[in-house]
Amino acid sequence: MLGFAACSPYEKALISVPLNGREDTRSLDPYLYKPQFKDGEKQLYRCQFDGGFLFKKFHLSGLLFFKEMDNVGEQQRVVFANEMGLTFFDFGWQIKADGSDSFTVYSILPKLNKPAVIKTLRKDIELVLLRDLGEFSLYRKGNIVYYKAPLEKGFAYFLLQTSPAGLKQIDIAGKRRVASIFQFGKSPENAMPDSISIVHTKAHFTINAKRISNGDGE
Amino acid sequence: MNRLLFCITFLLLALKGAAQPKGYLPIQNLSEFQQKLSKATASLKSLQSSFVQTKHLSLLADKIVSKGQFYYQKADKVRIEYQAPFQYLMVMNSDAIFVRDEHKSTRINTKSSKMMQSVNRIMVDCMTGSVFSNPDFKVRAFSNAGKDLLLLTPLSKDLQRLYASIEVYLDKSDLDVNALHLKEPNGDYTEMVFSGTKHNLALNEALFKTR
Repeated sequence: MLGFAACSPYEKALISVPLNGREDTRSLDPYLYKPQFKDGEKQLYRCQFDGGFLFKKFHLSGLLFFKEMDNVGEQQRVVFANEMGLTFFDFGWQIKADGSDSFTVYSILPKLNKPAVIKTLRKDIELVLLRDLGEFSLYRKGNIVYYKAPLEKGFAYFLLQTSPAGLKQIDIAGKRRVASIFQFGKSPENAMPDSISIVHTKAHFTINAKRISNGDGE
Repeated sequence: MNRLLFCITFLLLALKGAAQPKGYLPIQNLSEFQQKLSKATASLKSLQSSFVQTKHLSLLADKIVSKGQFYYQKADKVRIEYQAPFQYLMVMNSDAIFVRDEHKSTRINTKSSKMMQSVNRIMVDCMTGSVFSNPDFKVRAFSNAGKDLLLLTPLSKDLQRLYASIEVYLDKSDLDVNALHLKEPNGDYTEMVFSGTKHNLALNEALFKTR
């Protein structure tokens, strides 16, 4: 049974699909694209943050390091440091006994240490890693299936293509889209992508990351 | 009371121990060492060196390694060129810093940024031996059989937020900078180890262009 959903301008053109009758969407699931790390696995990306509002512009570049901790079970650390080694931020995630995610800021540069910045970076990384998402609801538009998950503020929409099957992008939207996450070179589908591009249209900044190695830096 | 005194004494001794790098003793005759350093660097006109930089992540026991070339031209020109596993260039020339990554080139006037001035000065000071006159750091000198060590502790709060200390390791024979350890407040540190150092080569001025 299909119905029109017009909760927000973003969802206006989407058709709601019941979860129990996915038809051709049965084989689609955002969690197919959740990056699976081996114990101790590392991934190193060359990363740039670019932004600006009115006349103020900023550009940060450095190395983004993902690491799955040994024998702890989905405990991940993400560190961003500049080329000369100075740590911009060091975040960690771990599954608690009740199954929910705990998040720790191990360190952050004083200039970045603002709740809004931490919240945004945390959300972006959690969506790339598909961590701690709530119940999905389903929509579709053409051959794109939208898996909608609630966020603290707004929703995340995982746009899955039916043919050829693939994760097209992840949108973050309230009434309107505020950010999009694009991932390229996810091969296999549950691997970390070769490159990531996060475009924050409302907050006016972009993050671009390109894998350079499996973490040994050589 | 005795227990309290013991605790305070123990704490003071522990702090004193922590202030002295392991395996090094304080240099007793500091003015003689400063003169030696000034003499060694006075004849230095230029320098070219390869470096390996290793970022040590304290809580992860992990390392991120990068490599490149370091150039110095008297009196205040420095070029740090990362070549692997990424391309990144930083040129310091007088009051200007030029930075280029794969996406963008930026020119910064250090006169408008006290922090950048400090960073710029550390690199130049290490090469020119003028580190003892740097007002941004408290500098102490240590020595062992093979190396001299300058321990720089930042004095300003802004620099303290970035670095807990900076260690400059010098070869005892020629007082060349062998290694730099940039220690962050969170326990992470970055080690730059220099090798294949060549002195007083005729370096192309274009290496130090900031435009």
